[in-house]
Amino acid sequence: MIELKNVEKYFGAHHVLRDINLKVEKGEVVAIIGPSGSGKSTLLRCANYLEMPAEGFIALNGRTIDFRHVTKHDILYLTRNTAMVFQQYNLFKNKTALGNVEEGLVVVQKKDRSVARAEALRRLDAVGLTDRVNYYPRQLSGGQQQRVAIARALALNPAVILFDEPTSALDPEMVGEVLEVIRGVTESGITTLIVTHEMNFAREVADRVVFLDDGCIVEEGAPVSIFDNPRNSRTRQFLERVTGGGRSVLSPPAREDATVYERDRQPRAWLGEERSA
Amino acid sequence: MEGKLFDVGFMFRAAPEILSRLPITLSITFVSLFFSLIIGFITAIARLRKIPVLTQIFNLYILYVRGTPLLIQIYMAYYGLPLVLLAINREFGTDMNINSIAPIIFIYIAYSLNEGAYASETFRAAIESVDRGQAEAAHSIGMTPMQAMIRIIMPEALKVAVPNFGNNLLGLVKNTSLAFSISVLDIVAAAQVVGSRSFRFCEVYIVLSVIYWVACGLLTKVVQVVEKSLNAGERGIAA
Ligand SMILES: Nc1ncnc2c1ncn2[C@@H]1O[C@H](COP(=O)(O)OP(=O)(O)O)[C@@H](O)[C@H]1O
Ligand SMILES: [Mg+2]
Repeated sequence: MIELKNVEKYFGAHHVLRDINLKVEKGEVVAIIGPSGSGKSTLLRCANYLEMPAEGFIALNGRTIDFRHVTKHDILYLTRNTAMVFQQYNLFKNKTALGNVEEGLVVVQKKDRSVARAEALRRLDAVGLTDRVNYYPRQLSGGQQQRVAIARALALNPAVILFDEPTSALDPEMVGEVLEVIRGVTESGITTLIVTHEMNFAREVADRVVFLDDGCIVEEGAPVSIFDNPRNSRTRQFLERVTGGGRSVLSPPAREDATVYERDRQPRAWLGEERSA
Repeated sequence: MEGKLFDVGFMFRAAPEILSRLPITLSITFVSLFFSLIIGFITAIARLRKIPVLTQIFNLYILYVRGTPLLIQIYMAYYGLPLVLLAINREFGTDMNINSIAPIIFIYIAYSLNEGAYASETFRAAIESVDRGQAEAAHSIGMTPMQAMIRIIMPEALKVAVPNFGNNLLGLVKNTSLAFSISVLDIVAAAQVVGSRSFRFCEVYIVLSVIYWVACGLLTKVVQVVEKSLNAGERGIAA
């Protein structure tokens, strides 16, 4: 269980998060959606203390931390019980795929090299990268790098996994493979917070959808109620904008296989993406 | 009988005497290199973390080193530090014997501080050049800031820094030629002794040139090897 209470965050004079209250139950999958600049990344980053909120509390598995008085131990407690998957993957450049996954097991969890290696190999196998374990990040495609990043996050057995737009930096043809892996993660029962622009995906895997606008949680609820019956006008406007008036997320995907993301693999003009040559 | 204007054979006869002082030159180089790396690393970290007071002091130190000639810094160490020690003696009743300090100690100090300032800039630029995402990833898997620095950021920063350290090192080797100014008996001092005995200054300075030139050439090779081994991982797929 992870809970944010009355979280306030400023960048200088810019009030980026306003009185955020969000409780996520064990095993729950929560999708965070909202316009660019609304504070979605900042919200996730506060949960593992990549950003320092000005005030508020975070509770994680029974321990409550006051953001106004954070100790080094608090920070390690947060970072060691949460894992982040970044938009830009952020794999360690000077380590192989295997090294990336092993690193936390050896350095942070102090596991034996051989135990760590076996665990890392198992995690890389689970994301379909058995034949790429000795590759360096720059030798891997974006989709492969992001799958390594997911393996790295999961290897540490975090209580909560945080995804920050995990497919936004990917070439369209790689989005599907990464979403498939994330779907597997959400089905494994691990508590998940995911910031995403993949509305179909959010609708499908999330137990709850949170709509964030201008630093405030404007509306939250089950995917059906948010996507099919948004009550707040800002939510409605946002959904209309992202679905561009064409085929919309308001009609649920018929089948549950990877082909439903075909549409999402197309360039998304509203994200400024262009068709790759 | 008129002597030869230029005596090639003399160069070969003079070389052993000059080379016998090479260990001094090398010790200045490597002792200063060692301490300059420590000084550079500590001051770079303090400045990157913007630790109050220390940052200002270190910035001032670096401005001083970069803004004044090395020869002046050597004299500052040689004439200034004894005054400091004497003041300590007076203040605390200690009995340090200033005269027993060998001149080379002042050279070690002056050169370590001089090189340290340049090393600090090199470290700082290299660490700043490492993508922020690397530090964030290290943080997010639960590393302490120290672990992140040593395991992730420094190895990547070093790749950027090594070529610059190579240049600094060449500069340091050549700068050792100023050590004779406070009567440290390095190869330059030896060459001057031989030169004033024989009045064959041109010959001995050619010998000196060759020694510095070979030393710098060898060090350049060493730096290239280090550079290669640091980058080795990235090229091929690890076996
Ligand atoms: N490090 C930072 N310094 C200053 N402003 C920032 C920083 N990070 C984000 N912001 C600002 O905070 C707001 C929220 O950013 P972010 O959380 O990245 O939004 P989102 O992920 O929803 O696009 C934006 O207006 C952004 O410009
Ligand atoms: Mg974002």
